[in-house]
Amino acid sequence: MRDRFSRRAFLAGLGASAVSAVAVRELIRLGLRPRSASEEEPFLEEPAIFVEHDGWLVTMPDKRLLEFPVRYLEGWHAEERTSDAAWRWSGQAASVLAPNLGVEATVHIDYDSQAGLFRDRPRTVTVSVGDEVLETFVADAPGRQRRALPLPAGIPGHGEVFELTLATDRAFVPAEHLSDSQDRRELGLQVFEVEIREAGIRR
Amino acid sequence: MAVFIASGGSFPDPSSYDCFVIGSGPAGITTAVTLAEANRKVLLFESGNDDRERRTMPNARNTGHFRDGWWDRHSIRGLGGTSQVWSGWCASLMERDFNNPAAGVRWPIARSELVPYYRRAAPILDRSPSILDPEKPWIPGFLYRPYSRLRPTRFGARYLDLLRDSPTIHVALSTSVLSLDADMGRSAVSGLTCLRHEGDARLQLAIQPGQSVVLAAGGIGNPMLLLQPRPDGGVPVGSESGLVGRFLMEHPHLRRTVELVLDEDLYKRRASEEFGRARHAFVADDEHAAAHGLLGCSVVSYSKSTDDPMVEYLSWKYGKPFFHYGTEVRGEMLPAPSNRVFLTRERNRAGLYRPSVNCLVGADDLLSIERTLRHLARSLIETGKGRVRIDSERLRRGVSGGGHLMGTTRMGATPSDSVVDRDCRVHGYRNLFVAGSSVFPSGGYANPTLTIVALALRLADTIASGR
Repeated sequence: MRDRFSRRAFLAGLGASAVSAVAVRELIRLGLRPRSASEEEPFLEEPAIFVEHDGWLVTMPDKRLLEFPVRYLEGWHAEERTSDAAWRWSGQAASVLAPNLGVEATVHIDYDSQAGLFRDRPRTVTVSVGDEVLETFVADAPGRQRRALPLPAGIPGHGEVFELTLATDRAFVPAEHLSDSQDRRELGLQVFEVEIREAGIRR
Repeated sequence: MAVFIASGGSFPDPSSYDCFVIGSGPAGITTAVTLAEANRKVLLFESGNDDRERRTMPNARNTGHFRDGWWDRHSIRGLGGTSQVWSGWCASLMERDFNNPAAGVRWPIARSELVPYYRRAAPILDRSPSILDPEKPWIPGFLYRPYSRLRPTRFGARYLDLLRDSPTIHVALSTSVLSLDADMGRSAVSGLTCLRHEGDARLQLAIQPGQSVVLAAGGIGNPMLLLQPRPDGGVPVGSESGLVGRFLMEHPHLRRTVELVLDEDLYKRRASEEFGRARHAFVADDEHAAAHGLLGCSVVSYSKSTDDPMVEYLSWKYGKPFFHYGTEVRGEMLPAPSNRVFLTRERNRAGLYRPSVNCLVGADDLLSIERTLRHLARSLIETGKGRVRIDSERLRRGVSGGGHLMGTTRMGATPSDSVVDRDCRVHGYRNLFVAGSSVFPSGGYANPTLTIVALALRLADTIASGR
């Protein structure tokens, strides 16, 4: 694995900050002409808009998304897939661990609520972070849906990651609704994808 | 064939020439041919031969970076000089290269003065003048500024027939100039001593004040000749400034050090047929570089792929295709007096003191490259057009060069800061001139061949006009 970019290490290697005896020795070892001690490093005074990830100069949201994609936590059934789609069924309540991007962001939930089974009394879905409810919506639209929920820049009380919970007001057992089904699992939402994206990034 | 015009053995009468050109690389041949076109009679000296290099005169010893024969590989004694190892890449210097406060030195001429000569230089290098017009705006602060890459022009082979057939150019092959003499007042070159290798004959040629001498022996050869000690122990002719040999510059090259992911398939960018195969490259524009004190730096893409996690991530993030590129970064070295050509005590077969080259890339040179890359990264992030990856280890330790020898007889306004004036005339001497990249006060990032030929054309015009 190559030594990826670290600005601090790079500058230390060049003796760009205070020209210490150690830095001078490093310069001699590298065979570089030293910098003048009186010279400033103008770039250090500029606000850094990026951070480093495996040598890449990226934004903080990039870094968090690259290092920490959304992870499924409790309350999920095993992944299922066909040739062109993959999904997980939640139980009545299920949670994901997502990166706190530190900027305004949007949670995208790609789901199918099987609304046709609940025409008489559609189910209600609640999305929350900890005790804070982000949104409650009635899952009455048929077919695959994509729902976008805004997240504030900093999610209060959370660090680099936060736990997002999806809960339906009631679960269903397919075998009780479908005559040809033997499936006795308690199911909530059929979730194809949960994504966190910076606000303003188009898809 | 030892001497084109004097195969019988007699050396031509020196009084019959208007100009003596020492060295037959791109600078020397361009100067000679252009003077001939202006009906000036030229004697062109070449240590080597028309079909082989002279290897019995070892060149420079090296200290610092670029060791193990690096400079020798780029100092060719043979007809055509270093064009024999030229890669064929062409780019002109940028406007800021002529007056970049970050480089701490200013050319006494502006780029606009050189542009007509750039256009004349292109056909000499077998390309269209349109190669001067490829740059396009790209992202904020940066330009798309590709290199033209065609088959390199080997001056020895390309202009052999022209030289052989010219009634006004005579080529003294296998003949090395050993020293220059000046008149009493040190205002003009009054003679030169040369060695004809075949027969081992030393000749002293008298130079009249109306005749011109042009040193075109390369970034090491020019200072090597000007530094040769005089038998009387006096200051060598042309070395009165004390600056000959100093301020040597290379172009730091960083290979496999920087990667780009961009939202553009660069291979779909088509340059004109005349431009040749474009090497796609990006540079900071003049305004941005001036605002941030950046030295020259170009990031050249050389390989494309889509098999990269960052490509996958950005394509997901932005919903459009991205492409991964390996790059070669070409930077600029600050002119430093400690980087220099100097003479050792060792003499070569011709009796010339052998030069040594000390050249260290500076911390500031690499920091400027690193800062340019960070500015590029910032602009790519802000526009959503890509990302930059830097291998810190290679950036600090993996520097190599381009074989570009610049700055050792630098051009400037006064003898206190330079060896030659704006006309490439050695300060104080009315008939001694220098051609080639050794006159560059700063080197920018662009490989120097196009500028060498442009400056040689300008020099020939100056001499022909009698200024």
